[in-house]
Amino acid sequence: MSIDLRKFFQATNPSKTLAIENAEDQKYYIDFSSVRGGKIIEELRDNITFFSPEEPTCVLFTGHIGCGKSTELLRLKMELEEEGFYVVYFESSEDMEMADVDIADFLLSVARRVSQSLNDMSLDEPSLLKELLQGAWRVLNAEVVGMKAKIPVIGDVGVSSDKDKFSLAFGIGQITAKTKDDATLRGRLNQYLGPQKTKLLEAINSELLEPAVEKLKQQGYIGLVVIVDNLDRVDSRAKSWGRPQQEYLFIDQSEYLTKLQCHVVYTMPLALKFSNDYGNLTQRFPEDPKVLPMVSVELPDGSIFEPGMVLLRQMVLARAFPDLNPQQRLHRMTEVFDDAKSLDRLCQVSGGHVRDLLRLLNNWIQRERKLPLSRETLEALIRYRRNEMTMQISDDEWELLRQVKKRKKVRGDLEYQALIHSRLVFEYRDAGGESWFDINPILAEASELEEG
Amino acid sequence: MSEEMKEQGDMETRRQGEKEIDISTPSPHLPILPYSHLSSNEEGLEELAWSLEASVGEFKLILARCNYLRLRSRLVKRLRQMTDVDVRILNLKRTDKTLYGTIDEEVKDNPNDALMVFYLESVHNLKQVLSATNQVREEFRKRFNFPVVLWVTDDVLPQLVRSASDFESWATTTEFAIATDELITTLKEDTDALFATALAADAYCLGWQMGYLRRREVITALQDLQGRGHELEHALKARVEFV
Repeated sequence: MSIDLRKFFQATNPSKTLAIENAEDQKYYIDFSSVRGGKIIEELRDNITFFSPEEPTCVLFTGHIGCGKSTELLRLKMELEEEGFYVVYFESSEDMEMADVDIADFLLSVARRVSQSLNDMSLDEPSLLKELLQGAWRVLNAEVVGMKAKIPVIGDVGVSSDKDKFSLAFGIGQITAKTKDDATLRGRLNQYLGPQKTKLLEAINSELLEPAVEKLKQQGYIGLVVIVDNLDRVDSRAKSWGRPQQEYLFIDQSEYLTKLQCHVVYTMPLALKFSNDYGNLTQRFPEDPKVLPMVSVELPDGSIFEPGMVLLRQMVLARAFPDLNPQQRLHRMTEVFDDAKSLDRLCQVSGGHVRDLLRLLNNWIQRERKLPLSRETLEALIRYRRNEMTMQISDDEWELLRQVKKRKKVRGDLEYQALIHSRLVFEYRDAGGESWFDINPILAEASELEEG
Repeated sequence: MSEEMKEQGDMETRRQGEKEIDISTPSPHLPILPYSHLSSNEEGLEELAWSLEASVGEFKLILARCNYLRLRSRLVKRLRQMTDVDVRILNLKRTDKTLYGTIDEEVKDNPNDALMVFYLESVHNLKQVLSATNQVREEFRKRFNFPVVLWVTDDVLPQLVRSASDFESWATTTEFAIATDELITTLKEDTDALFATALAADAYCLGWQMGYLRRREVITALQDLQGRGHELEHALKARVEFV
């Protein structure tokens, strides 16, 4: 059966994430854990299932954006479910304005997603939460009604028209819908709930999480796990009082993040690892953040890391031949590439960054529109991409890049944060779990990096 | 019959679209370009047409890199001849605050096969628009099940990489270059038009955006020609310097 070029093109679309529960996507999934230096997902899983199934745990998970975090978290979800846990996975960006996050928004968002997921489980009416929500609802509506009506007429929050029962998820949803796109209302909400955040946390624990865990256990589940993806999107802009938002949420408010009475896994911005406050962060969480490193394609001494290459080749070929086994795929490689070396060049130059690799490949298909793909086009695309990257690099940054190239290390300050964020520098793990850094291989051949 | 009507309707919207993107064309002197001018970009157009056809029904981000407004509108005209994909055009306004919201508004009641976005370079608060785009990028792939072509200039591209690096990392790129003789023609026409704008004082305010964009284009064209080692003839040089 020949390759369906259009399907191959769609399967390499870099804006797609694999959803592991989808049978079609499973064929594309390659388990990179063996070459990521330590089995991060296994550690996360065992941390919950083996070491502390009963007591709540809290762990932060981070990595380069686009290196496969969401895909791995969805796998964690599946594995935890197989072990008998009830898992609520959600993307925080759906409920919150990630440029302006406060702890009350966050707690509400967790409560909403958990209660939504447990929809048909009959818990007692959460009277404290209801009271807090109604207070918040009043504050928000007072703002809307303004001066016109002295006594604002508002319906009960959390009561939909078709049933009279109070629904927590519905109520929070009503509030979120109002505040997500409106900075003024968001400010109001946080002014109201901020001083009551301890009360809010306690109410979520005593009225939602604890009774839910109890009910889940009666139904045969071992426990409840909440996975919050996309919380690493919280950007670094400063709060009104000057504190960068990332530090504010993950350090100043860590008390609230760590005290939810169920297992939680949060994604954290990688940049925090390079913050001067990182020491403070590690003290406040029970465990150091887990970093999902890139797939290594080289060793620090510059030699090829074959196990990484083997899996990356499979990742590429699986998108062309989803139904074949690894051996069969390799046999038919020349139908896709003019030479085995072209595929290796693609894998090597990606630096193990999955999305960057797919992007190059996707552009390669787009440019040629016929198979096999030729090395010449790949080199043109690499030059183009290098040019695109170098356009944004300042002289100071070139100097930093030369240092990284030489020392394979990154110091924690702002410039380096920028290098990591723009994917000019990648972080890897060696077999012992020790981290090292290197510049993006696309840049490696830039003339600016030659020693003067 | 109904097919015909539909076709006519399509033509109508197309014509509207073209009229809008053609703001840089001084209508009385529309140069009729021989096809040879396009041939260097024919390959890029085929690439674009193929990608659009292959991506109908799903989200796909494509950057079309081109510095020259008039070349862009010619390219789009030619692209429409090459493909049946119904490409809607969205012209961003200087005051637009978000890319997502503006696209959402455009396609809400009006589904289409593919969307092209023009004038990102003219948006007033570009950095903010780009960071907002980066923040909500998930919504693009969840809600827009059609390919989006974003036209970018060399000025915009580095800003896109900086302020919306994750969004940008989803994109494939098609590059459109301009031939040297065409570039000189463009430069002549741009400087002419700028003179005209400057002389017609009344029209100055109305033509502000056009003048502003065109001045930038003149600067880019000049750098481009210098990069190619091309010497300008005296008359043109004087005009460029005046502008």
